[in-house]
Amino acid sequence: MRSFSRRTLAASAFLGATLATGTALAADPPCASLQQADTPQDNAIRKIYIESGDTQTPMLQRLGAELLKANPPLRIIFRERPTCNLARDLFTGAKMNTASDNNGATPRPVRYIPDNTTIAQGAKAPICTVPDDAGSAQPIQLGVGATYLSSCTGLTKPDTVGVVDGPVQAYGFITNNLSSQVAITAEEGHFAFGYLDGAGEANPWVLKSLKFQRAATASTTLTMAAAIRVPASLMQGTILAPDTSDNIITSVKATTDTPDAILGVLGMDLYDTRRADVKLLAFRTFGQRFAYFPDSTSASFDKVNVRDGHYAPWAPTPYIAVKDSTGNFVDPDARRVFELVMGLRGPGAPVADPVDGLKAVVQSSLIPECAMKVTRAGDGADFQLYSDPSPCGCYFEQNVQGGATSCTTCTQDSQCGTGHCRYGYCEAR
Amino acid sequence: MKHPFLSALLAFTVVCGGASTWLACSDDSSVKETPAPTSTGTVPPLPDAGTLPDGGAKDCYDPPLDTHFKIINACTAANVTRLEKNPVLPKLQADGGLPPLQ
Repeated sequence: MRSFSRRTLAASAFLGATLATGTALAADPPCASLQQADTPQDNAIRKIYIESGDTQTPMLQRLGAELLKANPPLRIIFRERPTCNLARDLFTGAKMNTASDNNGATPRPVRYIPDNTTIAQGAKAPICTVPDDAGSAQPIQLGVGATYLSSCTGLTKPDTVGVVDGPVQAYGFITNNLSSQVAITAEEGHFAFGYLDGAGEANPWVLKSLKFQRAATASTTLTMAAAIRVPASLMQGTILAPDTSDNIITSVKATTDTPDAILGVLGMDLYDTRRADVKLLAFRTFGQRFAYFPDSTSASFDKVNVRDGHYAPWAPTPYIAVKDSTGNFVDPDARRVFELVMGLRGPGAPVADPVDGLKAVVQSSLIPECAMKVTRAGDGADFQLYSDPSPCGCYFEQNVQGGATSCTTCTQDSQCGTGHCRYGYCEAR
Repeated sequence: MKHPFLSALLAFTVVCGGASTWLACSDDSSVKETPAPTSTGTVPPLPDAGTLPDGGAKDCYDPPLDTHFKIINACTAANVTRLEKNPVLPKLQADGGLPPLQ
C-alpha cells in the first residue's frame, strides 16, 4: 500500500510537472505515425500541421474533433506559439520540428486531436513528438495568430504567403476571485503596466510580482498593451516561465494576502472556459463614459459589447499560409480549415462540408467577422461601423453559450421578405 | 479639502452669472469644445448627446454613430451592464492626457 502510494504520488508529480511545462515524454507517439498509435483504419486520414496562438486552442480542439469524425476526415496537429513567432515561422517556411521559446524556458509541445476521446473544456489535447531536425519534419501548413501582425516587429511577409483576417478574439484584464475590484479604466491599465511596481500610482495594482503578462510577441500582450497605450516591449508586468496563458490563470488564481493587487491579461475564449477560477474586470477605454464587460453582463457569453464597439480590447485572428496567384491558400487542408471558420464552407454554405466550422468558432467565444458591427484598422485603432455583406448575427446570437435569437428561422430567401436566409435565419441583407 | 467639481461649478456659476447681461452661457456657440477630462475622477457629460424627457443630459448617443467617440458611448440595450468608475490617478496630466512613460 505504501509502495503503491509512493508510486502514485511520484506518477502524479511527474504528470503534474509534465502538464505544467508541456514537455513531451518518450511515451508520446510520433505525430507522423499516429495512424499506428490510434486505429488501423486511421491510415487514410490526412493531417494538417498548424501553429496557433494559445487563445485559439479551444476552437481548434472543438473544430478538430468535428473534422476527425467528418467525411473526409482531417486530423489537426497543432503547436501553441506566440503570434509574432508563428508568423515568422510561416513567413520563413519553418517546419514543425521541436521548438521552445524564452531561451528554452517555454517548451512548445505539439498536440493532436485524438480518436474517440472528448477533450474536456479547459483541458489540452495529448502530445505527440516531432523530429528535432528540420530535414525530416513536416511543413507548417497553416498559422493562426490572434492579433494584427502589424503589431509585430521585424516581420517581412513574402509575396508567396497570404494573411487573411479570421474571427475576432477579445482580451481582458483578470484578477483574483477574492479581489473587490470590478472594473478597470484604460488609464489605470496604463499606469499599472506602464510603470514599475507602484511608480504609476494606479492603486491597487502596484506590485510587479502580482501583475502578470505574456511576452511582447504574444497577441494577448500586444492587444492589451495597445488598449492601454503602452508599447508592448515596455510593459512592466511579470512574464512567467513557462510563458503561457494557462500559467497566468494559475498565478492569478493563487491564494494571496492581497487579492486586490492581482492583475493579469487573458484571451476571452480561455477566460470563458475558466470563469470559476478567475474574475474578469469590466473595461473602460479612453474617452468612454462607462466600463463594460465583453458580454452584456458578467454572467453571459453573448459578446454583444465586442460586436458593437463598447468593449475595445480585441483583434482579428490572422490565418497565414502559402497562397496562389489568386490569393487562395494553396494547401487544400489549410484552405478547408480557413473556409470552415469563416462560414464559407459547411452545411448550407457556398462550399458543402459536413463540418459546421462557424459553430466551432461561435461556441469557442470567438466572433465571426459576419457577426461584427464595428471594425478597426489595427491594434488600439479607432472603430468604424461595419456592415457585413453576408451577416450572421442571428446565427451567432442563437449559438453562443446560453444564446437565443428573436430572428425568424428559414430555409430559403423567399421566407425572409426583403432580407436573406443565412445560416438558417432571416437577416436584413 | 476642496472638491474640484464644486470649484468648477462655482466658477461656472460666477462666470455665467456675471456675463449674463451681455452673453448667455449656452451651447449655441459656433465653436463647441469637448469638456476637458479631469484627473480628479470626474467624468464630464457627453457633448451633444441630447436630453432626457425630464430635461436631464443623456449619457449616451443614439444613431447615427458616425465617430469612434459616439460608437464607444452609444446607448445600449437595457440589459447591458455598464459600470461607472472614475479613479483618481495622480500621474494623469491636468488635461486628462497621459504623460510620457518614464
